[in-house]
Amino acid sequence: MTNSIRTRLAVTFVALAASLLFVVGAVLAWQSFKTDQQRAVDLQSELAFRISTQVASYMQIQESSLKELIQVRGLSGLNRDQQTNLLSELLSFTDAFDSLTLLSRNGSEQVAISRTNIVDQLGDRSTDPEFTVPKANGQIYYSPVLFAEKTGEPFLFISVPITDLRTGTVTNVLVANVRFKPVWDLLAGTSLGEGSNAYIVDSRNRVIAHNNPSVVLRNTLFTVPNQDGVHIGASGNNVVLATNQITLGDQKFTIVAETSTVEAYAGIIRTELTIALLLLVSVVLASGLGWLAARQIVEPIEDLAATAERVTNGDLSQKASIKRLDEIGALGNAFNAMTSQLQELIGSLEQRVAERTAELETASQQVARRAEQFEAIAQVSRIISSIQDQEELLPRITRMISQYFGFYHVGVFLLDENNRYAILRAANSEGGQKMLARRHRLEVGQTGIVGYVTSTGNPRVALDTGVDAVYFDNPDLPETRSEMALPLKAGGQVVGALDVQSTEQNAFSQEDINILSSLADQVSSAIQNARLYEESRAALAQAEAVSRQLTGEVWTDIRRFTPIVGYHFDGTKPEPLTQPTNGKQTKNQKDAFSVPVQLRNETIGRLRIKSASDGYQWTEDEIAIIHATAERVALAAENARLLLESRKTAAKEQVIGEISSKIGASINLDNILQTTLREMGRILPGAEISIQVENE
Amino acid sequence: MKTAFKTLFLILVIVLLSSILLSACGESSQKKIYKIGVVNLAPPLEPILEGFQIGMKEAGYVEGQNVTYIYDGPAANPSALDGVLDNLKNENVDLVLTFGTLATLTAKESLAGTDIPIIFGPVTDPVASGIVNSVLSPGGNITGIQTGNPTPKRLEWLLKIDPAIKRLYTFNNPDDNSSVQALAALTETAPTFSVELVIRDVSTPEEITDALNEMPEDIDAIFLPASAFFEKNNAQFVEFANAQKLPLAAPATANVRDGAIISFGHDNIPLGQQASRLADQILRGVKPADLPVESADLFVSINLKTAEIIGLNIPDEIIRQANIVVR
Repeated sequence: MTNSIRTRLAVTFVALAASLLFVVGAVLAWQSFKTDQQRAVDLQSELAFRISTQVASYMQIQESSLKELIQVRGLSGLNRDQQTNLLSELLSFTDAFDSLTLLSRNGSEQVAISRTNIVDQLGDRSTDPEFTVPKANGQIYYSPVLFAEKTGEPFLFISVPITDLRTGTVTNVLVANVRFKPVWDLLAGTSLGEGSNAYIVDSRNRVIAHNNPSVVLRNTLFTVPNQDGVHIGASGNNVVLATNQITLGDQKFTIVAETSTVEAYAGIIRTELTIALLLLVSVVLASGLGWLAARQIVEPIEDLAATAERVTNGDLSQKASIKRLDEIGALGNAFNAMTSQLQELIGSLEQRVAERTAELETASQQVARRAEQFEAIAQVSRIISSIQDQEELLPRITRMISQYFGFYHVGVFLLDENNRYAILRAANSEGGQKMLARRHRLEVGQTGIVGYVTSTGNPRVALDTGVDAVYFDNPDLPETRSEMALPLKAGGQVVGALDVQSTEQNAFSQEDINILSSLADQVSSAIQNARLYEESRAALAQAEAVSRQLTGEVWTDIRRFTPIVGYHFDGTKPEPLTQPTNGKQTKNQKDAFSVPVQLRNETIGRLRIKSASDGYQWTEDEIAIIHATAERVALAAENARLLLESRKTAAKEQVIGEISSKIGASINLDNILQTTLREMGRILPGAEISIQVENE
Repeated sequence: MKTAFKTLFLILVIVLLSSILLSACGESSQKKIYKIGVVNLAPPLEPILEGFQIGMKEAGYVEGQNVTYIYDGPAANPSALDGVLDNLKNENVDLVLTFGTLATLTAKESLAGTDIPIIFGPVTDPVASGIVNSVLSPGGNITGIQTGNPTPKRLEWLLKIDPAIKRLYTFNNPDDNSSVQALAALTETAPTFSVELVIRDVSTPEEITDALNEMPEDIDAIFLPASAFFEKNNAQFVEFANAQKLPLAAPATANVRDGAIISFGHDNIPLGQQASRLADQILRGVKPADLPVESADLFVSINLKTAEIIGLNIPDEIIRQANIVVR
């Protein structure tokens, strides 16, 4: 999380600390650099000065040596051999001179000795500056630096004039060839560090002495800079150099002390590195401290943020654990207080929502239950309304109510004929079956809530508490904890009771009573319908029996009073039958069989058919045609009989009507009685008829 | 807070480790160990190596640490030099230090085609010997210390200690340029001092013996030209000269220390130190061609013991002029 407070704070701390430290470090480093650089220059300057002193002293010593020969040893006053020996001694005494020459007044070599060469011939040096200059001015002369042809080594002449003590004129000149090689050794012997050099440059920019003789022998030229500092040195490298000038006679020599910048700056670089390292350490430490500070500030805020996130995610029990007395601590406390308040608020809201939800759920469940119950009632009603057989209906009712309403026992009690007992007629449970087996019955108005209900016609609920607990002692239904009995009524009269029992306590509410009462009404109607159906069916059966009896009697009369009882067809023409044939003769034969001619299930005749071919197998169609024909024959015969009967009835009604009209036409009793007799006599001729009025 | 202290501690450790690493970086480079081979024909020249080693040590080359010297002693004879040089080539040396003109010429020829630089020691005239093109610009891969030709001056000094000398018995080794050049200078100078030279060519110790045994009469002194050969056989001359009570002028200070009565020439140890300066520059990468040939400092050496042996009284003023007096 790059944009976190921790990151930003840490970056800010580090950047602030680093920038401050870098500025301070840069200033320190720059100051240190300048100081060390100046110190390096000063060091070289000091070295150059020291070497200058030594070189000047060296030259001064040589000059003094020469003066000593002149002034102390009286060189000019000695003879030639003495002069030679004296000069030889000096030449051997010091390695500074390569040769010593004593010139005469006119410049010719008077005595000449050399360190390395044999002087076998004296020369004339009257025109050489080493003679003419001191001769002219009486001063010590320093020649420019010259270089030996064979060795390439530099040297110069020091010419010391010898003056006459009385006249002050120059009588001789002592010329010394002064070697610079001892100066090389002087430079080489100077303690110079690595990369440091010391050298002498003459007025013609020629390096005449160097701690490394090779530089001199290479004819190295070096232009001395005007100012000490960092320049390109004689070696061609960047150096810190300092110069010091000495003057010998008319000759100026510059002593240069230099050290390579690498060496000169080694200390500076170490210092700078140390500063850089300290800076780095400081930055790291500052960063660490900044990080710690940021952590001190941010950590509780992060904890608070994490706690807030958890609270946001719904965990209101989270508390910020900030135990500080500063603003962050106050923030944490305020947050905790806010969270507590929020938790309480949400807790109460949740409780209320839960209550409302529970209520709604209960209501919903109730509604659903009602809907289910109504659906069950509808289902039960629809099914039981389609069942007209009471013996089938009642068990079905118990099973369905148990199934749809979840009651473990449902029983249907019907009152006996005397309305004295309520007899259990159907039950779904196992205990109920046992009760049915032992013809369980309850006396109306006496036993149990069924007795109560059948007595009062009001529903009743028995709970497993209080006085109702006694009702649950039925050993066949030991699990019953609630019981409800509903009256079954038909035409306002109690005909029985619907008994439902539950294993749950307080299983029935008033609403259940209402709903199940509705169901009980449906059940009552179904039972009533079944009863009516049975009664109707019994009446119908009775009517049919009477009809069959009448039909049988009528046709018996017809057979008895009709001479021809049937006809036989032999394939040519029908022949009347006067006596009934034996139907069993053709029964169970393949080629012959008889079909009863039935009317209202009463056989009024028989149709016998025999194939002309023995063993003929009648087809289904032929058999169906025969049966249909038998049925048509029965109907046609009955219609014919009914027509005949109707005619008879019509004739009878006509007679009766006539009698009635005639009787009705009379207005007194005698006439009515006489008319009646006459009409009856007319209708029933030969009959003896009397009519009288009965007394009490 | 524990985690914070742990982090701080970790930071400190990292910083300290970084410091150690930074400081170690400057010292991590491994120093090269230079191999310097030495070619020498004359045992008396060995102090040059001593001086060379002193100078090298002062310049920071410590034997066994950053420099090793490959030197099996003086070659028995000039023909043995090739084997010595072949060995040095096989050793792939960084530098060859040669003593004397003959050894230098042999080394130059043997190492031609290689990049092994050569620093020569006492060579009378390297230009005349064909060792370098010029003193100031040697060219090639070689430079060193020349002694110049102080033979005439040595004769002068010999005459200073014994002005009665009129006839010198001297030698020439035709195989050694130094000898030839020195003898030429001597021959040229002798008439100046009215000195007669009796010259005998010798190139082997046996010939020296023969020459000494056959020394003519009336010889006032024996004069040895500059040559490693004569320096090598200095003892033989010393013994003979002392026996004959004759002054022996030798080319080098070492010979005086070994019994010659006088010399005017280089001193081996300073010469070796002088050569070490050149070696240092070469090992630092300077090309030998850019290093001018330097001249050796020359010293007057007198052996008073020998003077006593041969019964020569050297004047005090002469003794005072000597740089080195063996008493």
